[in-house]
Amino acid sequence: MKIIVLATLLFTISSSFAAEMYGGVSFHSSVPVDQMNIMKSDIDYLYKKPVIDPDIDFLKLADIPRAEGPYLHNWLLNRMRFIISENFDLNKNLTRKFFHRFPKTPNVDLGKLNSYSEVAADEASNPTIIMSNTGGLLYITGKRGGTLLGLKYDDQKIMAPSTRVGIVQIGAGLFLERFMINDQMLSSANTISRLGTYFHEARHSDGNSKHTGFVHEKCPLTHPYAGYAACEKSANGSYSIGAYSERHFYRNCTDCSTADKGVLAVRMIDSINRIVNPSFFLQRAQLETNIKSYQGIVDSFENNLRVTEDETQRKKYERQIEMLKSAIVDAKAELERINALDVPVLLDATPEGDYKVLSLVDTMKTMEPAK
Amino acid sequence: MKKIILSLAALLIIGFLFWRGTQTTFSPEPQSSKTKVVSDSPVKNPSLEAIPKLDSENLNPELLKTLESLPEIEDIQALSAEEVHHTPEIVIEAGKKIGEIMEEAEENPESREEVMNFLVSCSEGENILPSVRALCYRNVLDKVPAWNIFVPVADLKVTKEVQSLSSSIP
Repeated sequence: MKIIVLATLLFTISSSFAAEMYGGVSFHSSVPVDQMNIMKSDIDYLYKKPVIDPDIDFLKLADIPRAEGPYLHNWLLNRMRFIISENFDLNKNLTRKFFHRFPKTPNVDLGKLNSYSEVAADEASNPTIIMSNTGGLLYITGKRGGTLLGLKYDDQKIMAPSTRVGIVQIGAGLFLERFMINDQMLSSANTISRLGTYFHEARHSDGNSKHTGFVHEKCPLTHPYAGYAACEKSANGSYSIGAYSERHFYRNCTDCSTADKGVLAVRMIDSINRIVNPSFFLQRAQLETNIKSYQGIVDSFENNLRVTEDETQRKKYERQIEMLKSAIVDAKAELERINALDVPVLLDATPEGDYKVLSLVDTMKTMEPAK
Repeated sequence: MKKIILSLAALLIIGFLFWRGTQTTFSPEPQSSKTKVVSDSPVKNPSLEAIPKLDSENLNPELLKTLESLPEIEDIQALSAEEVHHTPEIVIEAGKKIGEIMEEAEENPESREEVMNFLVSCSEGENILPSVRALCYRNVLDKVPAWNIFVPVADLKVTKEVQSLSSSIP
C-alpha cells in the first residue's frame, strides 16, 4: 500500500513538471497556464482560419507552397517546437556535449551575435521580454565555441545541433495590454499580432553560414532606428516574414475593425521599414501597389472632371491627373526594368546542422483531437 | 447759413460713411487650398462649396492634439534596444489613434474633410516617424476616391521612402 501511495505521489510530482503538448508545440512546465492557453488559441486560429485572399508575397518570401492553415502550421512547427518562459533559468539548465562536429561554414559575425543576445537575456536592464529564439542563440554560440549546447527541459534534454531545434522563449511582453491592438486578448487582431511575432522568431531558426539565424543588422545612420540592431538587409529575414505573415492574416481578417487595421498596418510598415536594402522583389511589389493606387485616384478625378464646371477647379483636376499619369508611366517603366533583371533577391533560408523536417502529414496529425 | 453748412457737413459725413460701407473686402481664394468637398450629386456645381484651407491650423483641437502627439524620429532614439526590437509602444499607440480617427470618419461623413486635412498634415510632417506618415499617406490614397474629396496628391510633400512604405499595406 505504501509503495502504491509513494508511486502515485512520485508520478503526480513528475507529471507536474512534464511539458504539455498542443498542436505539436511543447510547453515547458514553467510557462504560465494563461499564456499557454492563449498560444493554443493562436495555433487554432492559424490552423483553422479560412483563407479568402492569400498574400502571395508572404508565400514566396517564406517559401510556403500554399496559403491554407495546415501549410502555415507546418512551416511554423518546423521552426518553433519548444516554448520556455521568461522565468526559465537558462544558465542553470544549460547542458553541453563535447566533440560535436559542426558544419564547416563561416560563423555569424561576433558583432551581430552580441546584438542577437541582447534581447535573449539582459538581466542588468531587466527588459520586458516579448519573445526570442533561444535555440538559434544556443546553436550559434555552441558552434563558435566548438561545443554542442542544449537545455535541460523538464524530464528531457534538448540539444541544439541546428537553429531548427526551435526553442523559443516567451515573456509577459507578448501579452501586455500596452502592446495589444485592442483590449480583447483573443480577438482576431491580437491573435494576428502575436502570430506575426511567432513567424518573426521562427524565421530566426533558418539560414546558414554567415546568415545563420537571420540575425539582425545595425540600422544605418540615416534610419529612424539608427545604431540599433533592429534592421536587416535581406528581403526574407525575420522582420520581413513577420510583417508579411501579418499582412496575410490581415487580408483574411473578417472581424478586424477599422481601428484594429490601423494598428496592424503600422506594425507591418514599421517592420518593413527595417529592411534597409529592399530587394527588387519588394520594389516590384511596391511599384505594382503604387500604380494601382494612383490609377484609382486618376479614375476618381476624371469622373469629377466630367461634371465640374468651375474653370479653376477643372484646372486643378487636370494638373493632378497629368502628374499622376506621369508618375504611373514612370512606375511602369521602372517595373519593366526590374522585371528584366535576373538577380538573386533572397538569402538562402536553408538551415545548417542536423535537424529533422516534419512533413505536412506529421504536423496535421498533431492537430487531430486526442483519442 | 450756419445751419446750411452744418447740414451739408452732416450729409457729407453720412455720405462718406455710406460709401465706405459699400466697399466690400473679399478674401481671395486661398492659393494653398488643397481640399474641396465634391458633392455626391453630379449636377451640383462643386465650386460653390466652401473650400477649406488645408493645413494643421484648420484642425479641430482634438485632431490637432493627436497630430502633435504623433511620435517623432527623436522619440525613437530615446528608447532602449529591447524596446525597438519589436514595434515600439509609441508606434502602436499612434496606429491606435489613427485607426480610431478613421473609424470615426467612416461612421460620420461630415467629419471626413477635417480628417483628410489631418491625414495630409500627418503625411507631410517632416519630423514624424516615416512608418506613421506612411500609414497616413496610405489612408489619403485610399480615401481620396472613396470619400470623393479633392486632394492634390501629386503635390504632397511626401518622400519616396514614405510612398514606398505606404504601398506595403494591401
